[in-house]
Amino acid sequence: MNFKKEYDTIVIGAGPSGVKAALRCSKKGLKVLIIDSNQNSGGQIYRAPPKSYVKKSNKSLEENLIQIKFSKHLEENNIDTAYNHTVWQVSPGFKINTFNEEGAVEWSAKNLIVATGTYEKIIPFEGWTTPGIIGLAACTIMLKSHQTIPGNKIILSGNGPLLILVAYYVLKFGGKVDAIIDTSSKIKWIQSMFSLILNPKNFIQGISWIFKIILSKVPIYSNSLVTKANKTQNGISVEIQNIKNKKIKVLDTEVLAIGHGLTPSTDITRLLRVDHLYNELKGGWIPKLDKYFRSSMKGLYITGDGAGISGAIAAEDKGELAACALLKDQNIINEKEFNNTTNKILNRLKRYEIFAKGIAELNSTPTSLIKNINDNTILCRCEDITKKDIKNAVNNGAKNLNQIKSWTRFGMGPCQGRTCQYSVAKVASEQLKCNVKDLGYLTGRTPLRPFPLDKAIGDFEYEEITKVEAAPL
Amino acid sequence: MNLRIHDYFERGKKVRIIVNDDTIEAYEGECLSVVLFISNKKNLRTSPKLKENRGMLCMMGSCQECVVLLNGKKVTSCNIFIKDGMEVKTGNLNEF
Amino acid sequence: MNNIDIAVIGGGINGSSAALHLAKSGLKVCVIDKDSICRGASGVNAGTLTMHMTRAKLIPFAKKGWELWMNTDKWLSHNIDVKQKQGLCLAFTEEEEELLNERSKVRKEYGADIKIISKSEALKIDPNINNKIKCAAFCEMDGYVSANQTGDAYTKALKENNVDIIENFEVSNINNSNNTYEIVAKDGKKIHANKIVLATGVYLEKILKLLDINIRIKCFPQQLIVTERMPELLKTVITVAHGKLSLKQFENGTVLIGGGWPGKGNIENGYNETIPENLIGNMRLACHAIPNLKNSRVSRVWLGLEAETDDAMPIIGELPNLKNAFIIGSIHSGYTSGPYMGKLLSEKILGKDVDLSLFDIKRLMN
Repeated sequence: MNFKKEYDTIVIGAGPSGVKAALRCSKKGLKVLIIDSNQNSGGQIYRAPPKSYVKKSNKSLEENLIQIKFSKHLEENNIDTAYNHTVWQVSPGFKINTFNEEGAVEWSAKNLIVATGTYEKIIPFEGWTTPGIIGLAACTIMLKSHQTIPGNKIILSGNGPLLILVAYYVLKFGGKVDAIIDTSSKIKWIQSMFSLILNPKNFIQGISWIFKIILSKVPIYSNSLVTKANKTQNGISVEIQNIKNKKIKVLDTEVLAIGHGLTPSTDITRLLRVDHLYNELKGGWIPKLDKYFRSSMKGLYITGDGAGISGAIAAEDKGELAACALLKDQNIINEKEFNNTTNKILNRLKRYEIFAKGIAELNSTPTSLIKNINDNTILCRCEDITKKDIKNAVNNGAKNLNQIKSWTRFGMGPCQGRTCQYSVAKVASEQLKCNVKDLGYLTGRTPLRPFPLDKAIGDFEYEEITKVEAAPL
Repeated sequence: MNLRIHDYFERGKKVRIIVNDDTIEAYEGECLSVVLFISNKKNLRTSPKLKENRGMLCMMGSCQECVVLLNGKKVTSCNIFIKDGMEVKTGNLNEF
Repeated sequence: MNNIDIAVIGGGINGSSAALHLAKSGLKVCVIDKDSICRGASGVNAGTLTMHMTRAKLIPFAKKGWELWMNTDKWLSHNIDVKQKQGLCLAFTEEEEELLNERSKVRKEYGADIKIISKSEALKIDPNINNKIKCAAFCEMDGYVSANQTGDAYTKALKENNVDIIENFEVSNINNSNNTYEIVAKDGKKIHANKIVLATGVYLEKILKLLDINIRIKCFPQQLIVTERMPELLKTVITVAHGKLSLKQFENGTVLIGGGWPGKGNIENGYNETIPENLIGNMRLACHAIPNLKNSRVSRVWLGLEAETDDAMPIIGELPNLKNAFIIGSIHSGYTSGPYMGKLLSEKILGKDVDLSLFDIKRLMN
């Protein structure tokens, strides 16, 4: 692909929201580049199989078809696609620095649409760092994208829509689910279903998923949580407890897939220092946005689940709205066209409101999970920081997340707090008896992902190194 | 049970990679962390203070738990695709 | 807030060190900071303890500062990662070799024990360095401090010495009445003290204006790069002849790359934005010095602001035309000498005979 150096609009994230935003901008004549670290479009929910996998003609997965359509539309509309590119810095104005297999690549654009989706929340418990314990989202990706069942014995746990999705796909692919440990009850499953189905019209399909799971006689432990796990000779031993009657049971498995909802990715928005607000139902910290997804920085639009959890269908419409706002701000469409188009989209989004609420509830973290974290449980996996370490920092006077980070080193490892920030905030707020939002969020830092030095420096002669003034004597 | 599903997609050609001292068979273009996971190589790195075994967690390039040494360089294995002859080291990567 | 003998405004290592020594002598001290203490330059800099990069005239002070750092149990009393390491300053070209000779000679004259060694000697001391060097300057007395731990350590030490730490107090006004001071915060809170010490780092120009003193303090946003934990990549603290590289590997295996490469920003609008070409330049220099660094990944990048006066020398001492008002700041490569400079100022305030004429603020005034 022959990339330009500068584009009218750059979209970061080729999931449903980013793709729709890119298409709408491009259709109005803007030069658009879409960047994604994966090999293909689709984001996480429609994540394509690896490039080396060749589709067999007779069978198709619906998600694959949607993803293929996305890529086709992007190509048909002459949108430049930079797959396999990892964004490591975004500067105002906007400059996007990335790296790929070959080296470092930089682009600039007048406007930026960020559609980087979410991460999965996994609330720590004793032994959660045991290899073989993976996220529900990770399990989804292994199944749908990599076409691989994680293990011969699988236990699924947590809350949120992914629990049903993973159970369904393991069974569909001929695998075995040994147990489902659900923090909520089966009634919530009906709510889950709405957030999973690809088209609200396919109500029946959603119900069929739940029936398949129930008919497969997978043991379902409702209102239960995983209290601890540890490595055994042949796998992992998982202790579960019923939240209501406190009964404990121990199960053996090879793989435990666990997840507790999704939280928006705010790496880029925190790095750009735009305004954020805390909304537990929307997944935690989200950028402050107006009705059309404009952020507090001119020319920057945030869309998709990264603007607040509301599901894949809503994500597409959100992408369209953000694109409309961009087009109006650039005077490419006038007030009338803007209102006509956005009103239609907003009406569509209203229809999904009822689902959005259900999705939001599923994403919230049951307090029993936070209570289950004991002092010796690791919170920050990168640096081996325990709950006790966090409590000590708070006792010594640390009053916000950045200060706790400075004193304990939590969040200073390669993941930059993405995995642990949520749990550390919950633990610290409990101790300080304050709201999570009073602790603030970790200041965004470059690089957004660990950046291989060899890719950064490329080939060079010593004399080429930018001569900077020598330090004073 | 064969954990790989072949119903919907044909994988690339069969290749071999070396993980520590073991040779593992895989398909070209498969995801490295997935191959390690199902090939009984779940321990990928060692945690810094407690020296615990750690392995793949998020599969999204976020958590950095799946970092291994590939031909001498640290990489996030969930973002790496199998090529014939890859040399992978797992375990206490800071001692290599 | 009553009966404060001395209010130190600015809780970085300069201010906090002064406060600690003043408190140990029995005075009632408070430390005021607009943020949490040691979150400015003191908390985010590279923590290099070096004679190679210290301004030549400051060598005697840096040596004393170095000794204080190596003995924190005697005055700071709390654990902070300090390591003595040998320091190598490298020269890759003939021009750099000349520069190295010149710089080392001057520093030696001021008391630094630096000697020029050959390539083979340097490689024996640290086999990880690029064998393309022409020669190196060697100093036994180098090392590093983990800057991010200073906040925690100083907070504990100050509290143990009965110092009140008043954080999130942004000074908007300082009123002088009868040679005592009323310090007013943006939100209206007031603190009354008999004496004040201004130690606000890059904000010194701003706070001096409150007392009608006009001095220019230049602020340079500088980038720092840290890698993931790696196996041993270097044994020494590395710098280069022209001063634009500092390299050290901490006990935890991470490598910190610095050298004062500029980023973007200022105190009004924040200093958050890196200049990618400068990151790459800095990394290239680092990988040239230690080739195996190429196998690592950058984990974090951040910026700090370095304060510098017009002649790049510190300001320490009494404020002109005012009684009971003092200042400390703009100590170039200040980390090494900071604790000692703070101690010196505290002795001056306590009436001891201390010569701070080299750092007199009057030299910068017209």
